[in-house]
Amino acid sequence: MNNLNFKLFFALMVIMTPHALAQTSDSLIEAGECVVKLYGEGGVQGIEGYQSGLLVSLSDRMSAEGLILTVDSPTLGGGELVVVLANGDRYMAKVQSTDPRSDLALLRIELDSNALPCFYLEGSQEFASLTGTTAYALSNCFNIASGDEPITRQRTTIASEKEMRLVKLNRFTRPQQVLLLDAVTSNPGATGGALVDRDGKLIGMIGKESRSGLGGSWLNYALPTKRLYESLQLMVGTDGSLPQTVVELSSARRPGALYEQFGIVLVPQISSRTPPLVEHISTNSLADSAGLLADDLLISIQGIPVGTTALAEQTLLSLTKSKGVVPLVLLRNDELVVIQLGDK
Amino acid sequence: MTPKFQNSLFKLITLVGLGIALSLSSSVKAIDLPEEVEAAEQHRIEAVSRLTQSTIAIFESTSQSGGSGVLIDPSGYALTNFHVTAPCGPLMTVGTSDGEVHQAVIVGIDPSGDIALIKLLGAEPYIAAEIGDSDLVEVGDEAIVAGNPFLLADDFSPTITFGIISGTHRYQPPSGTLLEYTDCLQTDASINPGNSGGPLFDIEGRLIGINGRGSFEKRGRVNVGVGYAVSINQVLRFLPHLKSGRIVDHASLGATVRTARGFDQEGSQAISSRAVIDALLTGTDAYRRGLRPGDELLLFNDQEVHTANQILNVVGVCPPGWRIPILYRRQSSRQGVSSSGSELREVIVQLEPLHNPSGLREGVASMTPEQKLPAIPKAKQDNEWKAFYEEEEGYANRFFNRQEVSRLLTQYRQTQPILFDGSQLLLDTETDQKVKFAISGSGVKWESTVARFRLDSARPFDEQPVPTKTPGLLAGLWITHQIDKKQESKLDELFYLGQLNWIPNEEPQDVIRVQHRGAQVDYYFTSKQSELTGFEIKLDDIADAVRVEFLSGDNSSASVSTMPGARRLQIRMGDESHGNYLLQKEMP
Repeated sequence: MNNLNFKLFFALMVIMTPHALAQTSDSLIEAGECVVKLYGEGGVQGIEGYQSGLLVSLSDRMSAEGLILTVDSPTLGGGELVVVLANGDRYMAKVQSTDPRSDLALLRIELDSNALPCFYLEGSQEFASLTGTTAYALSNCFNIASGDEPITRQRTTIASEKEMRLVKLNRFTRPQQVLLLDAVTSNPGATGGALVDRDGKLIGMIGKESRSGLGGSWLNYALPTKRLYESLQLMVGTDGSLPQTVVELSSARRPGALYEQFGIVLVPQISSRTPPLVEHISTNSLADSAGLLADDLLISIQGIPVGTTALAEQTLLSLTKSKGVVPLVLLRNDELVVIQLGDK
Repeated sequence: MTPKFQNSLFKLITLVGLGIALSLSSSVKAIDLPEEVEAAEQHRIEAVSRLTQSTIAIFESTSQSGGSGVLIDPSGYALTNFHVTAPCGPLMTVGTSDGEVHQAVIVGIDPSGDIALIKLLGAEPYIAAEIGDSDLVEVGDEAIVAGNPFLLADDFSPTITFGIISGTHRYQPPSGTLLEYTDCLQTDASINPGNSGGPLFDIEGRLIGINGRGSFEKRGRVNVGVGYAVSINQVLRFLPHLKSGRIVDHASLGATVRTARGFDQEGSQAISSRAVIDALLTGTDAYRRGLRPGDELLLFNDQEVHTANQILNVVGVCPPGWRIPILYRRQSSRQGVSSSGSELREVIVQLEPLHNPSGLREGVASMTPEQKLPAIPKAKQDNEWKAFYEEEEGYANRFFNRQEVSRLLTQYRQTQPILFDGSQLLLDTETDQKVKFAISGSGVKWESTVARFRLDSARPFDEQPVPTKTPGLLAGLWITHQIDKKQESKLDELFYLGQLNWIPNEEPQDVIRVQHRGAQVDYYFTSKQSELTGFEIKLDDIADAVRVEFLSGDNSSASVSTMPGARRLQIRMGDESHGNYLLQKEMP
């Protein structure tokens, strides 16, 4: 009798399983259609000029608002990006605002009246513990998909939920809740992609490529939906209009020496080969008066070629210490420019 | 110590011992798994135990490098990557999952597609993989990778990794080498160095791909969740070509295609993509069939196409010479994209080779290190493998080509009578014209009511473009006669090419290619019975081939008596028909 029951159950399970799997697949395909491919600044060694983003809305599953949420990164540096939707349509998007506390950015495309499927961020949802559950990372890692080709789907498990500080502009943000994943989901271009559960429901956004400065180990994490919702609300504004000003930087900073002395912020050193590309120059700083601009690429200091962030920082600090003012050769818009930088 | 005390001590020790034993056993509790989880696990274990049996570990003879492979036939044929066999030379050492060592000889290689076919020797029958259908694979399907990553298995038992299909129909461009992965499967199951050439299976244990590449970047050459496998459907299309023992090339349209973006509709901001021909070589079949720069490709081999990548994906899985139907749109006016003033055209195009032969050979040579004679395996001091290997320029292993030619021609001669011999008559059923022709070892004489032509077999054929309207026809008839008379050794070059389609979407046929005195003829034989379907002959690279199809005789023609089993010849060149002839012995 027990044997028969088991056989019946097994037969029923075998019949039903493909159906259940098919349903998972459909909802994942739908979720994938809310992920967009972004193309912006970069293309230099270690800094890809592409990443992923999510079509989002605070009000519905279909929206013509054209709001795209992604992680703030050097790729967005130019203020304008090319957005490629799942169906291959291309738009130009402007960076509407950024939220340095969660390191997110909001883009907007002009959609006329065409409503698109998007991730509906419904509220400050608290999920039951996600640790140990299966999740899917949907992104355009390595820029494998172009045009209307489907983005990449990877399967992962949520290993734990922890509070961590994220690195931004050589400073750390406040500690915030992140989901740690057990598969390599943070690949080049995956930043800003979606982390969804088996039903295609959004549980987080794939974070940046992150590496421990101490041990060199790589981390794969996602920002939970709760964080996305709060940040989006802030960036959109409570009356639905989008503020033009950038939200003030948080006070939890750990500035680098280049910033303290000269007001120079280089792009984050993701790999040992990250080139010394200027991300930001502080107003009225020494670098500002010397004429250094954001997007300049440092080439040499006092004739010494500087190919990486670390080398540039080291060389600049030690040379200005001993010589005061030094000539700095940089690349700006395909032209070489020389400026004099240092303590006068 | 009093006995009473001893007794108490003994009891105490027993009690403590029991206590320890009990606590240990009660701390081990079985986990209650839901039945469907257990059943799924059992299903997976069963599939894995099956698929490991066809997975092999491949080593270069000094065991310095290696990879993986998969048996696809009980006779010992196995697939792997070209970049795995390239450093090995003609002989490889292979380990099967039962721990046994075998010798394997190279059969054929496809450098662009990164596939090689090898044959294990001496221990038939081998356990072969069940072949799946890669076109049915969907994103999200579970996938199993088997192989020997990091060459870590001393006993050749395959390492198994598990994941999902992350993408299908992916294109990975050549990264400084010949290797181009068109239309490949992407998976997040771990593929690491050493997995190359090994199998990708679906959850049922059916072979759906051959693993060979991954995306690596900042984290070094270890898997980061992105691996690629050549789809098995592509490999199967090339399998007859690989069995020919040649260095196999891929196909090309002979044109560059760009993805053009334009507004879809009036007033819409949405931009859609179209696949448009940018530039086109004039010596190609695509050009001869009428395609021109600016034409928009709509259907390519019956698949909708919108981007250049999609075109590459379709072309990349075809061998040169493969025929595909193309539907395209030509703008009558050159302004804008409005659909008024455009026309749709449909053609059948034969694909060109991707590389020129010397370029392919150079590419192969650059990936093959200086060949030293393979070190004789310590276990067996035997040279049996040499009986299965013949070195020749342009071939991976000429031995297998000779086998295929012999098989085909033997079967062909068993079932079919000699076609052309002595004096014969051709009656054109389209025009009622009669042609007298005679074939012998010295040439062909062709006499119609309007003209007379001669082919001299002693002179180069490309200098004798006869008959004028279908140059090369006489050369084709003469070469066919030579083959029928078993005189093929007198021909400059005769080899088995692989399988091509005589007509698109019909079953592919075995092709023998002959090169003789400047003429090139491709003979098409049906794959089961080796019946001669027809041949195509070319005297140069620029013009269309003359295409002769053999059909059975038509008994409805009342004016001429026909023999049973009479044959018809349908002659075409390009898009024109040049006669539908009934072949007869000349009446005495």
